[in-house]
Amino acid sequence: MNIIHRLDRVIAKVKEQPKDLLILRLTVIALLLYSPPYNPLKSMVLPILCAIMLVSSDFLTRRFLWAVLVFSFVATNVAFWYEFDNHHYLTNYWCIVCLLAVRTKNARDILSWNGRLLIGLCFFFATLWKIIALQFFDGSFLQATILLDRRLEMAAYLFGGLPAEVLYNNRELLDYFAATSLGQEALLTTSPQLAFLSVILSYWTILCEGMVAIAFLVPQLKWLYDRRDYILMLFIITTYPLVPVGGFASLLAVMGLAQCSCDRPRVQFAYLILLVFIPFWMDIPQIIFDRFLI
Amino acid sequence: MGGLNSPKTIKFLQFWFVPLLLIVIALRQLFLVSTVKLTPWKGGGFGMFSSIDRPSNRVVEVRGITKSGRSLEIDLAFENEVISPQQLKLIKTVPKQELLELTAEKILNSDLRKTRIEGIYRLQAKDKYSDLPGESTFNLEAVKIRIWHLQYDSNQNIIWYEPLTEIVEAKRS
Repeated sequence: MNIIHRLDRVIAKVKEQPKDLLILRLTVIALLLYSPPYNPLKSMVLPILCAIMLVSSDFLTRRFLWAVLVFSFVATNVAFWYEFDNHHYLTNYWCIVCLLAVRTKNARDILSWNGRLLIGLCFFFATLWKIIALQFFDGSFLQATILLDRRLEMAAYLFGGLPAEVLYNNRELLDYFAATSLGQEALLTTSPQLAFLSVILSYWTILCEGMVAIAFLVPQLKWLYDRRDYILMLFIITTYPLVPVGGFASLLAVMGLAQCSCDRPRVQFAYLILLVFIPFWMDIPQIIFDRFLI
Repeated sequence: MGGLNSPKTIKFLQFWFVPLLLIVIALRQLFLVSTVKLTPWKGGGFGMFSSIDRPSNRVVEVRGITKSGRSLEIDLAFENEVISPQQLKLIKTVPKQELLELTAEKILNSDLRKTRIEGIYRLQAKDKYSDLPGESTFNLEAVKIRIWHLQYDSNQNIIWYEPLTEIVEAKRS
């Protein structure tokens, strides 16, 4: 009871601050935890800069400091554009939005508008890619990825009933063929339930991502638009325990909160809770799996 | 005429610049995938988790041809002073003809050393360690390079590698 009371007080205090400051703070925390790679400031300067910005609202809203962050992120992204993942690009876009928003009269509107469009566009292109790559409709992409990617071993075990040694053998086979037998065929070991579930999960992914894109980009579809926050949260909750990309999940939650209407305090609260629990929610299933099931 | 400081320009920057930047970069990525075979996973087009054609599922095949016509298999994954890990990632991710030509030229102008694996050779900078006893190096007459990518047939559950690019060759003139 005491813990719940304390948590309530902490959340009330968090919610007391102006929303634009809250969004900037959460962005800085996300940068501190999941900043893109290769940044020359990453080891020393970035943590100090972020810590100063977190402590002082004055520093948090200094354009110069945001400009330093943006410059270092964008310069690194340009140099390593072929290596950066999608969420690193998204992080950079969002930092530019923060730079454009700080110390303006309409900071909240800028963050909200850009947050909604960036989420919608990123899901639009993600859905488009899944459609044009043609490996989603027959489930082949997910099945191959689950069978060959070490990070998805949990999914292979839970959904396909495949033990770790079978998956290890599949990966060994892939490595062997890459090294010695280009052009020859190799048979992977799978199970009928994994093949079936790969198709179901593929359609679920396309449906969920497509719904997020439409809900965030087409306000004219009022029913869907009004439920956009729930759809995004459903996506975060169901996707990231299987594909643990903390930086992406946190950024989506921060941008989701930024665009969430102020007259929906419960939804905003849900975004905050989601942000707090993302690291645990993503890692706990994996830890349980590694410790007790394998 | 509104200048850079006009309210209209500022409003445009604040509300439309970043979404438009995302669209331009995503369209550029789609263009590069269809023209120079950039992997859908990279380039800011949000194509991750859409195709198995990711950089780690691409293989760089390099063959060096000696004066006597022997074909030697060169593995660029071994640490060397000629092709850095970043360059290797770049040619896997964006296998442009010019990049492959440049890489083949670099390999042609370097030496080879045996590895512990029978029949596999690694690169070393020209003349480096050439005075070490028992370390034979090879001068190459030509280098052939090609990128392969993984394929998967879910009906038969088989994997295989297929050529992604043509063979690019550099010859000693």
